[in-house]
Amino acid sequence: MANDVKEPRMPNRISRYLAPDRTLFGLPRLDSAEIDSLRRFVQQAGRHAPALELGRAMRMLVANDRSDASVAALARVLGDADTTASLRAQAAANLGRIAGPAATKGLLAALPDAPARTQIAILTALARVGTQDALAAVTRLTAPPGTRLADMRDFAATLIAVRAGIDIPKGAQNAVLPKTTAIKTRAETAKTARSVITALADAGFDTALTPERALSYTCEDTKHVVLFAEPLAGARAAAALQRHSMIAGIVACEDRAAHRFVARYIIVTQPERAGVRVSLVTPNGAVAFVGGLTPDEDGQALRLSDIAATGTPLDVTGRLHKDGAFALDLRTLTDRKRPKRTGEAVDRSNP
Amino acid sequence: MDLSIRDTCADCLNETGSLSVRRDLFGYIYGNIDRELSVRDHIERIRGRSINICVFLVGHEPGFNGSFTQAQALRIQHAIDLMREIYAQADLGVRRIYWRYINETDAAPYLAVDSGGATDLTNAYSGPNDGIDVFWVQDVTDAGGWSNSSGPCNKDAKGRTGAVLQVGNSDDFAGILLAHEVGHYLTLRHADTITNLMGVDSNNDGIGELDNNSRDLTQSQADDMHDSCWARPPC
Repeated sequence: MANDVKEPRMPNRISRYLAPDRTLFGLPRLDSAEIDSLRRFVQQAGRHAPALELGRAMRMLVANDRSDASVAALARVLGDADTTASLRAQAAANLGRIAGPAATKGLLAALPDAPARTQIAILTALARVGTQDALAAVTRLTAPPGTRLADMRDFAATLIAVRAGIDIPKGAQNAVLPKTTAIKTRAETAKTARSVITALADAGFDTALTPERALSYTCEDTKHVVLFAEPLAGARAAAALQRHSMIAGIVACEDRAAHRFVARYIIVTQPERAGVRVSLVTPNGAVAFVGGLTPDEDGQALRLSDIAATGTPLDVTGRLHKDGAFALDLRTLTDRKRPKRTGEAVDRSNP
Repeated sequence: MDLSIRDTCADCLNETGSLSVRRDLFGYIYGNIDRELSVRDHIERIRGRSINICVFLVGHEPGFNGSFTQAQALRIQHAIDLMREIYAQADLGVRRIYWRYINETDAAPYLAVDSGGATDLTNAYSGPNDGIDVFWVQDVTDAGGWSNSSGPCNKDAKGRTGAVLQVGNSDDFAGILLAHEVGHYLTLRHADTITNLMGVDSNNDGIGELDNNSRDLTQSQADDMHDSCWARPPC
């Protein structure tokens, strides 16, 4: 079929565009005869079709024509088990540029029996344009949990459902709207806060901490206590934060092996024109959370982004009330734990 | 018991082809150490119930262009060999050593750590799942090292998932410290006598006191080590 490109029946303009020694800078507007010719090329391309030409032809066809006949031509490439995985993925992607039932049908026809790589391409396309009819087939697809295929299945199912305005299938929602688990925070007693401050001793970054208004929570089986700097003890907390940059507090966590509390994060703040910038940094200097306090009618709203490289992501919001009281709303994304790094293997023969 | 070096390397260490006794059988890749090595004893130990360890040099660069010196690398080998001698009392071998390093740039926050930093380090890195992670850093600022009492079998578990030790000790004390911290990982708690490997925690601050004579293990401790999920079957 490679020779088809050079046959006299293929319009010269298309031949020039498909030629592998040309860089394609744009897609031409084709007339109906050229579209027919191009579609025929895609329709008839076999396993020996030159990949670059066929890939370009599919892209050019979709840019010019979205008829059912063109959908059928693309679906044929997608369903051809003898075609390379790359071309099948391109066929799926091009079908994903054509909205409507025919494209969905073409994608679904190839889904069950295609290899995983092609299935992922099909699901990516269905996430873009799949109609409600596709939902059952997508959710029926079996894939080992935790694999890219399973993730894409759930992603496609979720996007199809939300586009159709129906309930997201059970189990799929987590792909797009990950499950969060609320962490209960509570006001810590002054007595406990005082003992934590004592335990921190010389690890308190030379900051005078107040036992008042401390908060505590348990994350990953470890008790954490949020201690604030003395200037934040009263109702003038917001004003203190606006005055100058400061170590606004310390988040301490319990180290069971050491039988004591250690500093987990240092809370550093910096006043800005509208609000306060907030950063939580580890004693080793790694910034774990960044965000800020933004004034609103009830005080100041806190939002922090978790940028730590490892561990379980934590969604942090909260509020500094007008009376100086702090409140925290913590949620973990337990199934989104960031993978550990492995270090580099030492070259045993030349260490 | 098959005492063939080649068979042992193949059966227990997954090493075949051209073999070096020191490098492939013992796992000492950094050169000779000032200790007597018995091939026969070593094969008998690692063919029996054993653990593997994954050694991280935190802040190392190939060619010793980072924080580690060759003398420190040799000290770590010395420490491992002394740990092997101490664990032999419990009939527990130290079979396989995975050598890893964290380059100096990535290791910057961890060159000197306290107990919290030790936890962060083990949460950030881990080696192969069949070996206990042992991280060597230049300094541990609030103890000689930190470990976890009964280290989790799953390296994705919460909390500290490895032992963290400072390299700046004498060769022998580094070995005692290594055996002690890995001992914690294998479920051992502080003991009540200074001559025991697990030392004493006289002021209950979580830090065991040790000295150069803290090398003994009791039968009960040996049994606990064998019951740990990290103890691997004979090969």
